[in-house]
Amino acid sequence: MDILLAGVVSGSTYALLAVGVSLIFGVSNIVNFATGAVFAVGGMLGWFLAAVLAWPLWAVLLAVVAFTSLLGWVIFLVAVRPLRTAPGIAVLLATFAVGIILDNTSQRVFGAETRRFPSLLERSNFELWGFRFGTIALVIIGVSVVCVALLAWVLARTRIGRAIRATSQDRDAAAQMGIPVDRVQAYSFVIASGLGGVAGVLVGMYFSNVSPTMGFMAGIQAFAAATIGGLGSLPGAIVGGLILGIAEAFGVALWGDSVRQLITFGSLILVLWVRPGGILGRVPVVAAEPMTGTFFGAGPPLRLGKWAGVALAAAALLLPLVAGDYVLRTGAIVWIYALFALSVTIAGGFAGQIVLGQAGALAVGAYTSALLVTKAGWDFWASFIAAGLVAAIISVILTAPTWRLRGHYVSMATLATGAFIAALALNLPAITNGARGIYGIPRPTLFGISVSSAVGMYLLTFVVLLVALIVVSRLGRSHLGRTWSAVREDEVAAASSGIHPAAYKSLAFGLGSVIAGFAGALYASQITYLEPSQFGVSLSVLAVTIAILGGLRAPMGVVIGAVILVGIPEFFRAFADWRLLFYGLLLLVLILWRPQGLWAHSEPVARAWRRLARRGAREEVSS
Amino acid sequence: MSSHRRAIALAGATVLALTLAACSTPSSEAGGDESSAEPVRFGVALPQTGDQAQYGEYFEQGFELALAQINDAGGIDGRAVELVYEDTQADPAQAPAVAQKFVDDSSILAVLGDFGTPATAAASPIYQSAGLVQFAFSASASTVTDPGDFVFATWVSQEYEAPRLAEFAAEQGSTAAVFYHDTDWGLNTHGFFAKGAEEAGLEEVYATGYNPESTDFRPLLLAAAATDPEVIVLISYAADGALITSQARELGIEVPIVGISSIYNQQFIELAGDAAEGVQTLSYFTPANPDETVQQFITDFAAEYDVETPSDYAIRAYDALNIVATAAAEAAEAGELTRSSLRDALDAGEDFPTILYGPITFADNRRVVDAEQFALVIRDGAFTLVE
Repeated sequence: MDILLAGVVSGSTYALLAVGVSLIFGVSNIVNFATGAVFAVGGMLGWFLAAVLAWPLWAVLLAVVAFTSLLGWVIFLVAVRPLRTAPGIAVLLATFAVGIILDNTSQRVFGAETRRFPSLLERSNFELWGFRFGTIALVIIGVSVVCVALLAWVLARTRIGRAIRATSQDRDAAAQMGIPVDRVQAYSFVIASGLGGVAGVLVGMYFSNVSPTMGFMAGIQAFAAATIGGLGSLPGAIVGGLILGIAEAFGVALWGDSVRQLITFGSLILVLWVRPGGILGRVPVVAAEPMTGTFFGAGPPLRLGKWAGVALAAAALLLPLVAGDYVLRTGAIVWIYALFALSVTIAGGFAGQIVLGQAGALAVGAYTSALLVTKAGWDFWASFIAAGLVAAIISVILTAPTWRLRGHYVSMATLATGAFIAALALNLPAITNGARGIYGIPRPTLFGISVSSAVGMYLLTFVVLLVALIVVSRLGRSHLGRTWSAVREDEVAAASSGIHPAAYKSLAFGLGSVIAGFAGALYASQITYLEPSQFGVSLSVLAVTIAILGGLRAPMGVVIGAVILVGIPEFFRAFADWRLLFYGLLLLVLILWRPQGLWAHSEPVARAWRRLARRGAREEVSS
Repeated sequence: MSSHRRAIALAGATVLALTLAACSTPSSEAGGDESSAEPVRFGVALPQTGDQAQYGEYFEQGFELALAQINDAGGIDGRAVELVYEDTQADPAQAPAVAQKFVDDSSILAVLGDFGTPATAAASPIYQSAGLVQFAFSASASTVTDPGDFVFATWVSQEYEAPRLAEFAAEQGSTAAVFYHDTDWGLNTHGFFAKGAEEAGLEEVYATGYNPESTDFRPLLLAAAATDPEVIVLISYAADGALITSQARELGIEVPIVGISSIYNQQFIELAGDAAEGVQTLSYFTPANPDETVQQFITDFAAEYDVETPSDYAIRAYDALNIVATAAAEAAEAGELTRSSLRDALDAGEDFPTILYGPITFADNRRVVDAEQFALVIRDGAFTLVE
């Protein structure tokens, strides 16, 4: 019974966050990755007011709600509104960047230490039928209920509420009816962020401590809760939160803490298999597909001339002549990540499915190769091939039922699959050595010689990437590539002309996973050490970010994306503690500047280029 | 139009010339200096951002204090000492690149770090093959120094500490519920603990690994309470150990709690509040140690930072820099101070002064073998010696 109570309380906090996620999703069709960060900022600010300034609880709550609501509005203005014509995925990445910025700002402002949150309420003053609980547990459940009831009332009875509901039903129709859609979306961010702040303070009080980095996992759990309940459905978010909280509490009590993520993501996958729209959600209609329409219309990929390509490749190959080992080691990592992101390009750019779980395939590849080389004594290249195949097989099986899903559900299901694989690696110590990890993975060998030098690894990874780039580019222009485009551009039309969309999506994902598996094999031999926590959700997001930033439809884009996102942070080393903050800012600026990707055709840039070219020509004539 | 452009070009050329001039001046000055005045530089690989950033902050406290003292005392062989910090986020994927950066910088004579075994072990092969000392002061796995003779480690292997903890816990009760990190460190430590417990006659009625990032331990504690343990053992760090302690007390679990030396940190008391009272630990460090250098260190630390007692992490960092600096001074005295002469000095040197362990000498596997521990109990918000 105690366990049930513990589950209900933590479920209530998930529900508070999940309601925010669902609200924003319903109104704006956006998955807001900054949710967790706002929650953490709320917790840290609450700590500061309560512990350092010794404010009473009501004042702390009011101030935190005021601040986080304002923060929500700012997030909307800075990261969401400028991207309203851009695809959902660009906004998702923008909110992810905001999350990095918030986490690190709060770490700089409040310090990185975990802090004690003063217990403003009693913790265990009641006992009822053997239940021990405190005012705090009641307050958390109570505040959650009140907040949600208030929200439900606002939605049902007020003008703003009607406007919000209308917008979430049909944004275009609402706009035509004179509803200020822009302002309604801003409201949804303000409300959701306010709820996030409340949750931050409550969770801080309940667990008695807070840290600036506590938001990311909480945010992911909120997504899981909201998706389980049905994205866009508020009662669904509450149900989802409670189910998740209770399932986790019982699972952890029975099997230990390491199964927590297994349960979170396993139940998410299961629910999506059984009910593709979540428990209380509607199955979204095709029109809500975020990848079609404006996005690709806005940015067809640039074409790289054959000789320009050869020149670039030659330049990259000759880099070891001028660069030091540090640049080359970093370069090898950049190429590995580019290869990894290429797997996103196939599923995302060719078949139009945004997959947020490629870290899973990378993990399978890395573990397969590392285990075959260290335990079974295989040659590196044999294990390299095996890594790609095993990664593809496991990924395809786990995601097979996913392809009937649409839109953000595909992203959430693949995210869950990826995280599930990492959780499996942790929970199967007999195979993966669990949290102990695998040490001393040997470097690759080539004709019996070990390639361990920085130059060797750099050239090896580059050649593999180059081959993959060429193959994937060819693939994009092949018959198969055109079939994928058909599925991407209009699934219904593709299906009516005899194409089986789910099969082709699965094929694209499987081929992508082969490449991710190859990248995993290289990753294992470059890092020489593997443990499950390396393959978290943020790694999957990084892969998508690289692919999107470069320009999703052009295989060449991953090279640019990886150089910027993996290489540039190395230049920020001089900023020390501020490094991640600058990284977040850079990411945000790049997404705002080129939401369709850097390696894509952009009208303003093309116009400026033409003007320059014309002027240059004129001047040549005049002189 | 064209004169306008010419003006811009002229301005641009001027700026460029000035910049070049500005760049070239200091280098010509530096060339004139004596080479012996060049600072002795050590690298530090540590988490400055990300989830583990708080441990990096503790490290910097210890390093900066030691650095100031060394330089005030005249540096090494008359040369000032400089530390070069590089952020790895304690991430094994980033550690190798940082290692290569240090290796490429020929002025770096040794590298201290990283936080935890994963990031440390990922960088070891690069340091080893380049012949640069990796001074692993915060990695405890029994395999840390295996990559080769350039890797040194100061953390006493859990092989010795964990069985002692088991004996200590056995004094509190005959059945134990054990909480350990589900990490390389936690699993190893728990392995040695379980062996020790068997010998000490302590029965493990409940044992569970957990993710150090977790915040809700109630389900685990409730499951543990159902087995009716007489003592709870924490193989934890300060922050998560404090959470388990306070949540256990809230649930009405009143049995004694015993923690491993890593919980020795004022943060544990701050985070657990009243629940910390009565928690016991075995620590290499105690503020009650009458040794003069230890007392001086505590005074200096308190003067520099606004904390009651230095954390285990800060002390380890402080000691690490002092050991490496001492070895460097010995190497410089014997001949030229280079990467390899520094390694030899560490290997050959005896009785390096430390706060945590007292004088230490590295064994054949380049580790600190064992050291004395004190039993401490938290009374009135402070770690005090058990009578």
